[in-house]
Amino acid sequence: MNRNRIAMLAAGLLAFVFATSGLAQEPVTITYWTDPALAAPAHHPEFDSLAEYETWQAEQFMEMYPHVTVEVQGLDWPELSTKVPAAIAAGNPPDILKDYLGRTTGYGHQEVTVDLYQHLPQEEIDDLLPGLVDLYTINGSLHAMPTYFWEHHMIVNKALFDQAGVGDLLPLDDRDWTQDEFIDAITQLRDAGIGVDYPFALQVASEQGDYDFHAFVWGAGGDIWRSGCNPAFDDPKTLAGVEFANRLFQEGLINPDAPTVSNNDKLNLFFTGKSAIIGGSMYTLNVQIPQAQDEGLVTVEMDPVLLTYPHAEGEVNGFPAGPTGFAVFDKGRSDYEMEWVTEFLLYLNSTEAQIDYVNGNSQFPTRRSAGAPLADDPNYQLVVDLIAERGTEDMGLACAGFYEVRVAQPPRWQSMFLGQETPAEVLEALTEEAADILSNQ
Amino acid sequence: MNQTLDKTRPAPRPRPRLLKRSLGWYIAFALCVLLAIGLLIPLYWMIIGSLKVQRIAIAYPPQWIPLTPTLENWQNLFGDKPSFRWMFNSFVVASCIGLGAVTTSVMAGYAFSKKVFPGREILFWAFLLTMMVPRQAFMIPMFILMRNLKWFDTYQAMIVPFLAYPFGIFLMRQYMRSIPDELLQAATVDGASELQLFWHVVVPLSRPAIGAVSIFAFMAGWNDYLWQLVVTNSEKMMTLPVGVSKLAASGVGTTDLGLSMAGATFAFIPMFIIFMVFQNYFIKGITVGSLKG
Amino acid sequence: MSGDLLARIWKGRWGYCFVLPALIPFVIFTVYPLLQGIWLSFYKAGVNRAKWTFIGLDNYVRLFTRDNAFQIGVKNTFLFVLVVVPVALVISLFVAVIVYPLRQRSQTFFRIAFYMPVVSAGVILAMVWLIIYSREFGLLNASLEMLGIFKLFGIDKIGWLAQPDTALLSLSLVVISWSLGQPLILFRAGLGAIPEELYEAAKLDGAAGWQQFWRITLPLLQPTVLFVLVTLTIAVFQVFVVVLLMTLGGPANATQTIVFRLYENAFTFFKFGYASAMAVVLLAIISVVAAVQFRLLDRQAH
Repeated sequence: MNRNRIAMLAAGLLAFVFATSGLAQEPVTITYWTDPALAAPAHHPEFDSLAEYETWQAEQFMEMYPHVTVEVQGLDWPELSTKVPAAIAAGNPPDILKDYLGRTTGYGHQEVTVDLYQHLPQEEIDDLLPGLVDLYTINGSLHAMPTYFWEHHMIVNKALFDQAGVGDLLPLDDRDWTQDEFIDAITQLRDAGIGVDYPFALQVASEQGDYDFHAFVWGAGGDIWRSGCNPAFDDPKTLAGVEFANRLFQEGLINPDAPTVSNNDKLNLFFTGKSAIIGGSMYTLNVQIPQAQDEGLVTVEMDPVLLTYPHAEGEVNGFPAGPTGFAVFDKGRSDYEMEWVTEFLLYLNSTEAQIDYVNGNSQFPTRRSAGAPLADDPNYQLVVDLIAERGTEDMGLACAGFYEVRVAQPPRWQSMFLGQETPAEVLEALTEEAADILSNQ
Repeated sequence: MNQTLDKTRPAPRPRPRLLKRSLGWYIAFALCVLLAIGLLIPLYWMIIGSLKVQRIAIAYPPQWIPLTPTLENWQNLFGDKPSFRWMFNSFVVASCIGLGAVTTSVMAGYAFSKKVFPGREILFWAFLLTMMVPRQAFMIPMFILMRNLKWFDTYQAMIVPFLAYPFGIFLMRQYMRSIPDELLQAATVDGASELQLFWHVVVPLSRPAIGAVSIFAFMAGWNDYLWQLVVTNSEKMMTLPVGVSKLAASGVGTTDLGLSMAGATFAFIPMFIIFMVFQNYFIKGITVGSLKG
Repeated sequence: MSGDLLARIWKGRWGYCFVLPALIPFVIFTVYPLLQGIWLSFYKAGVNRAKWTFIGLDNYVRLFTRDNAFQIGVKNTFLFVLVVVPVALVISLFVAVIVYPLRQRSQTFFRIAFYMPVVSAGVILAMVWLIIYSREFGLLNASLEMLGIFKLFGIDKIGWLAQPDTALLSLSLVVISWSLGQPLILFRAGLGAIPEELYEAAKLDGAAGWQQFWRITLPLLQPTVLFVLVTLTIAVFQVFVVVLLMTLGGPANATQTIVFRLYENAFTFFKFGYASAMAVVLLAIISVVAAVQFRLLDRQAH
């Protein structure tokens, strides 16, 4: 027998083995529900609507593994808050859900998710940022796999400050200002009479975007949550922060319809130059504002710069960071099926996928191996430096009862703005309410 | 009260003037016109909103007539999304609900108004009572039921639960009470069977109310949003309100107003046509019967 | 005795037959989930069914002793009913009386105006109204500004939804706008059923104008009034969409309602048992109110 024939035989055998093992693959159907990409990755401009990018991802995966069927569903906000809990309670959850931590936490605490420590290879977990892994660990189990996070700070339309002749009041060197410097700058801006009626655009209508408000508390050295999931409404520095925000409102430096204004309107205040500052992230800077400019929504000159929130003398305020992750639900899957669910999860959250995603949405990857995809963006470097310098703030996202405490707040901020309650009364009431909520978990 | 209703008599002309046309009447009439215009403004705003780009939609002061109308929103609506399929689904769902609900309502309304049987009042009040419970309240048990029936993402999930229509039953019962018993008795004496009696006497006499109930039920099915949202999964099973609201949602809690308005106008057109076609039919002589019982 | 009952049941067999087609879907898809909901109200129940635990009346106790927002919601729900129901009832009756004698063609205009808001999806109308009410970009403030109203009174633009004293009324207006169509159609139809001879007779008695209305029209419309009153009350007690889309219960709980609070507890906090308890309380409230309405009007009729 010559070598060639042996090689051919071996090749044939190998082919046979592969083919049969391929045949032996039982079909698996995986359902994947997703809070869709905020914007398509830059190099996939063809995707422009809800979940098209995610559908494309799933198709790629199915091509690689023909025995797997993935059913993708992009969810909008009302679905994330009605359909998902209803489906879980009815015992019909998706296999994988992409949603932000504040909500997956609720599922984790209710123990309807699988413990990913049992399914993910150690090296995959080791690749994730350790702080986030800790945050996602609820009662010793990893309830979801973090995939990206955003940071939050002020976005200031410098063009308006320049127009008013007070551009030099912006701390563009170290991006850091005190409460007094801040009030001075925005009061002068408003009084310059160039149409900036309410320098800071805020909404306390819903819990969505409440960090716009909380950032004033962090700036005063206060907290919403202390470590260990203790609400910090009784902290005197929290009171100082809330009083500061209230002062801004009462002095007319915040839009008067803040108690119930819609998100659309809040952004439009900024786009139309009635306001010069909003809370936002790199996503606001790199995606939202350019998009609005494309649509012609921006009617004033726009030169957005990134600044930290003002802080009280001697305080250092950090950055809040809000992560989103993939939760895997316990559907009583067999080991074999779980293998494929895990495989798909790792595919969705691979290093390449994270880089893709981050590029499109200007957020931060959770894998160390993803490096710094936005390193060329000067603001990105700035944010990284600022976070390194100032640290992060605890948003309490992983606490049991987080969402209820979160929703309890807007009505109180509203009543404070309307002068029905003083800041001290509001915080006293919230302390009580939060204690009651937490004791009832 | 012994109010009878004679539908065979042609409507008297000229109609009785309930109020004399005095100065007071003209003022009252002017008020009605103003009110009507006020009610049409939001609809007008919706329709022209669909012809505006986002920038114009929020312009201040607002543009009453779009200076630069655009079909952009409509193009997006019909773009690569199965908008007509969604409309078809809405039609299937609303028609089945309309048809089914009116059938069950006529029959039950007849039983509750003209038949005597033990438990009649209790049953009727049970129907009425469930009208009083908000649907959000038993969504979870309903959802569990859907799962056990394996009905997710199907037409029947959107239709069957609404085949019993308490509002319709209530309306039919009130209406049928004004049908004189003698009329039915006469038919029975003539030897008509129960079904013949129902089909040849009760149904024709109830025509106006049937028209009203079917259109009310159709509309309820057409505009139901929350339930259709939670039971549909695939794009091809979505109904118009669900599909459009998803289409208009843009990421971070903001909405594409123009696109929403185009979708709403699109959903509104068939309802408008149906209303115009059927209005004369179903408003002719319907009254909701006598009070006592 | 029981034989008697059986005989009556047998005699009424056709009644049961006619109720049956409605009864079957009703029992399966309404009564059964409803009973399950009531059962759930005695449980602590979240998204994990394995962890549902019986807690007796705790949910109810909590509702009445600790849940301030719910209590405000009850109060506001009553306010909504008190504002919307009488206004919608009076307006639709008024319009029906004025418009009824007109020719068909002119009536069509009114029918369209009053009925189209009913036909359009509430979700969308709420969105349109949200834009109209917007303080900075809204149609309402723009119009008032154009008419010089703000200057006249020397006030600033109004945040219709941002002030507690205008928010509830502003939402009520939206609810009223889509609550007029159905009553109007029913009233108009009811008017058509009043025999003309009655008016002729009244004329001979010297009754004219509003006297006719009070003496003939209104008493004869009484069944319709009752029907509209009851169904409208039931509907307004469940006011929800406007709150969800326009104010989220704000400002400072000024537009918080029972059903919105219920929705929030069920789907934001995953407290299905607690939300069910709210539904039971709402059911109790509405049935009492509806029963009272029946009684009062029934008595008046005699």
